[in-house]
Amino acid sequence: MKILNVENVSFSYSEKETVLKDINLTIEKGSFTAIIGCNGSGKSTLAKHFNAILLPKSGAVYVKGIDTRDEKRLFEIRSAAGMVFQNPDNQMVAAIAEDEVAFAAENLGLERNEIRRRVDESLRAVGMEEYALESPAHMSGGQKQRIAVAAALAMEPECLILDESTAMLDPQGRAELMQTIKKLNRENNITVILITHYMDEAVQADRVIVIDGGEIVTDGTPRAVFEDVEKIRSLGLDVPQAAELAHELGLTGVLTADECVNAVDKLLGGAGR
Amino acid sequence: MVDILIGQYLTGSSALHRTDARVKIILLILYAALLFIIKNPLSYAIFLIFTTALTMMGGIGFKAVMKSIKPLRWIIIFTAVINLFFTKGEPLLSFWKIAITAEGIDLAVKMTVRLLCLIVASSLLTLTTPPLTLTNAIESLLSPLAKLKVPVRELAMMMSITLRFIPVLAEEADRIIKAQTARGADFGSGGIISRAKSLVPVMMPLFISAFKRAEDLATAMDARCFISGAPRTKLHEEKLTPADARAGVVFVVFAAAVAAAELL
Repeated sequence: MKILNVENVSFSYSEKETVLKDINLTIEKGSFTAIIGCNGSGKSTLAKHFNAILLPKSGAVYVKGIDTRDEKRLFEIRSAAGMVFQNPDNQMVAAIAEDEVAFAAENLGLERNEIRRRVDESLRAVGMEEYALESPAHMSGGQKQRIAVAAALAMEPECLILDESTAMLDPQGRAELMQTIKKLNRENNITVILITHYMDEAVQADRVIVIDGGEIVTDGTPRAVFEDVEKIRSLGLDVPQAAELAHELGLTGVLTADECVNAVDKLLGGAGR
Repeated sequence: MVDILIGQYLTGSSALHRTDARVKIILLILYAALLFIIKNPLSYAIFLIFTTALTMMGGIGFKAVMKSIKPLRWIIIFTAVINLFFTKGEPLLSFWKIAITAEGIDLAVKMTVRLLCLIVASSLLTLTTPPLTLTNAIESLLSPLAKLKVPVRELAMMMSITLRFIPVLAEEADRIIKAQTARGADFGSGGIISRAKSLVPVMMPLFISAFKRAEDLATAMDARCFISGAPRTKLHEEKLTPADARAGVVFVVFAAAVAAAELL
């Protein structure tokens, strides 16, 4: 089943420059997609089309079959596609974690019991239930972003869009957040769209879409996308370290660190161990 | 993380802390009204005792009380002096054109007690109520105004977001100042004007960043289905507890004592 359908979408902030050029894209329910691209490639602009924060200048975006231009169904669209942003401090409304998580449910006008249930479940889903009554101001970056994920989960979305949500985190915070969203994808069957410029995160997705100059240039499994090291480099992007080393050594079909170890080991005829 | 105490809330679990903020606000208003209609010196004494008792019950130390009085000390002194010298009556002491009268002393003392009681009682409210609870209480109390198309909810939301962003912006200012200092900017010296001028390169980036943050926050709120003016529900129940009833009873007893003193 398709959760997201992008048809011939073009977008520009001003007359002079087109940010998105005729994008066509569908996202399957339950999938884990990474969208990568360098700064100014249009990846964040595209992400903001997924929950009607931006509306296409031409073409159309459908969330669960609903046209994002349908203002009357805005709540349905935004609850279906929850979004987490880059800066943890700038997206928080409340001073207490559980109030932050409750915000979306309060906006939807839900009953108090239902809000309570969703707050508890969302906090549990990101493993932050112990911090319900704490202030996010005293949390680490990774914890803040997990609260932000919980805040989006309170809408019970089918799809979670992370718009460079790992960009401002330290390595530990990034690992924490990646683990959380992978778990949500696997166990809660939440569709994940991860906008990032970290290749080691993109490798963990089922599908990688590369955007450059407002156009989709590559779309496929991480293995297929990173196979073409020269192309990825020509787009100003990094290649995952393991794949890069393997490429330098003239090895193929290597993506993860484990695969790289095995391939190098084989190359050395087992002498490396 | 810069830990800035917003407002002057002191954590605690006294009966004063546990009382609902709305109840505290209403009782404070009644207290202030009562304070300005009493005439009998005995009533003033009751007020002083009651206020002191409340302060002790709230576990508020002498230092915290003095801290709240200090910024207003000139107003208290000025009011006392004006009343002391410019009240008409039988002069007790007089030199040149100034005379101290018995009525003057009486009024000066009363005004001082009034101001002190008022300042201490209002600080008891802010000392025992977290700022966010206070904004929620104000929202709840003003909610009838929503019928008159006053955007009470939006105002309360603005207040709580402001409170949330104060430490964030303070931290940012701190960072900018350090960055400028590292590049040779001098903030600590010179006269008032040169010091104020040296803050311009801090204020500009701070403002720009504040606008950027505001835009980010607006987008994040949009993404979570916030629509200004749309009906919202609340996670927290605003139910009154036995502690509130007790606070009401204590206040009624106090008011009765004051009324009795007035009728004496």
